[in-house]
Amino acid sequence: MTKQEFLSRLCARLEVLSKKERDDIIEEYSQHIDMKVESGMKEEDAINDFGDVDALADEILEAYNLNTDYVKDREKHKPFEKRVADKVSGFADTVSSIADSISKKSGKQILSIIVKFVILVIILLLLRIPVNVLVGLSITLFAFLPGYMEAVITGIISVLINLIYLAVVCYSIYYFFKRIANEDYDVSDDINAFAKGVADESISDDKNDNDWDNEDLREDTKKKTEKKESKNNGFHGFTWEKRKSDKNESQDFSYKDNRRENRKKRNDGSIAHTLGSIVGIILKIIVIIFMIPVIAFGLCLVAGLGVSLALLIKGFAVFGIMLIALGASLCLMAFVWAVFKAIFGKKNTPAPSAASASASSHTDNASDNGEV
Amino acid sequence: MNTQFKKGVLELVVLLSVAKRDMYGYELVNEVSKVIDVNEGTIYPLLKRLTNERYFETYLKESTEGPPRKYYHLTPSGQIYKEDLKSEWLKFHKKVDEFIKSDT
Repeated sequence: MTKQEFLSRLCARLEVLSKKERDDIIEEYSQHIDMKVESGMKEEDAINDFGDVDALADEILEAYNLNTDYVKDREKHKPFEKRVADKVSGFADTVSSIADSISKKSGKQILSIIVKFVILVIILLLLRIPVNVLVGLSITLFAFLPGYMEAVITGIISVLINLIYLAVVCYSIYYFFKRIANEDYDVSDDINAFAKGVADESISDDKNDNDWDNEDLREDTKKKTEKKESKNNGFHGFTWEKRKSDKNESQDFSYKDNRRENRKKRNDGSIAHTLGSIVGIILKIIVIIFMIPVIAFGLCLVAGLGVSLALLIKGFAVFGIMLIALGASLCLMAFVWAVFKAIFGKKNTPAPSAASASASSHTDNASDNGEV
Repeated sequence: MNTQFKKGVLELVVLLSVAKRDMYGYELVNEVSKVIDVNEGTIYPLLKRLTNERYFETYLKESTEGPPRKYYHLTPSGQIYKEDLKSEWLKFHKKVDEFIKSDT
């Protein structure tokens, strides 16, 4: 709770008192908080020392020999417009406190905030893609319905999805600025939480539904490395397999540490986290959907290879086509394998880094060749 | 420390502190905290009540840094109230002490 929020809530609860009395109390509390902050205390802690706002307000009202139940009842029976107005003014207070704290920041800090905000906007725009995909899917899903019904249902669904998206956007922007207003809070955490959320998601998901797969993979690599060690003849294939697995493990450990730290850091940063998780799931789904035609194409190539083999046996010389089919299907299989390993494998990096990993493994290979 | 104990003694400690010299809220909280571990949420309402009962009067005084501070000053009736409370406490304390000693 910020100082503004605390004071405005307190003020609202002391509504029965005369304005002069109220202002007097608010001024004193505000001064007290300021002095605590000056003496090196965090604003939030200084406010928490007052305890519950409602209990505090009750005690103040008791000092005037007022029946606090009566005040509470009044609160309950407040007309709807009044309550809405209170909410709006509370929101306005938050906004003004945000503006206040931003104006206090130096030019460099403001620049970094702007950069981070741009990143946030880009992430939100990227989130737009799955939303559009969802809308498109729903339209094709209901295409079988007769004319007007289809229009109505798809219309409702697209409006709903867009509304949810809008809510997510508004909330994350509001949350972002609220976080900035907390001066001692490092804003980069927010962005990290977003980015980490995506990767986090892939980890935790793997843990859940692909644990056995991971175990198998790990066993496999372990066996291979063991073999390699026993042979000890520097066979490159195994060498880089081992290196890779070593790398993976160290990456994994550092990652877990990061994750733990992150969790500690953001007790209430779960919004960003869940948002990141959602983005992660959606990205995964998109990748899987895109992989389906690729796999189908690969199967077609394998079938073509089989046909050309049959033709070869029958006596038709189709070496050219056969070689092309063989090469292309091998390439595709390697690609599919790499992508699936990237998504479901122990390694928690998404597709782009899988490419870089394979690139680095190639260089490893090359260097090994050089050594041997 | 038992919160019920605290509540009972807090008023006396606040009165004694202000009797020594005039103080403003933050100063008073620090002074009282030396004796009783107490949160601000209970001190300020108490100050308000003592002021409303005319045991304290307040005045604003400019400070070198920041806005003017509200000082609390003990009124003559506050003085009497403080003495009453003090002797009451001493009597009470003596009785409880004797009771504890007779128990052991």
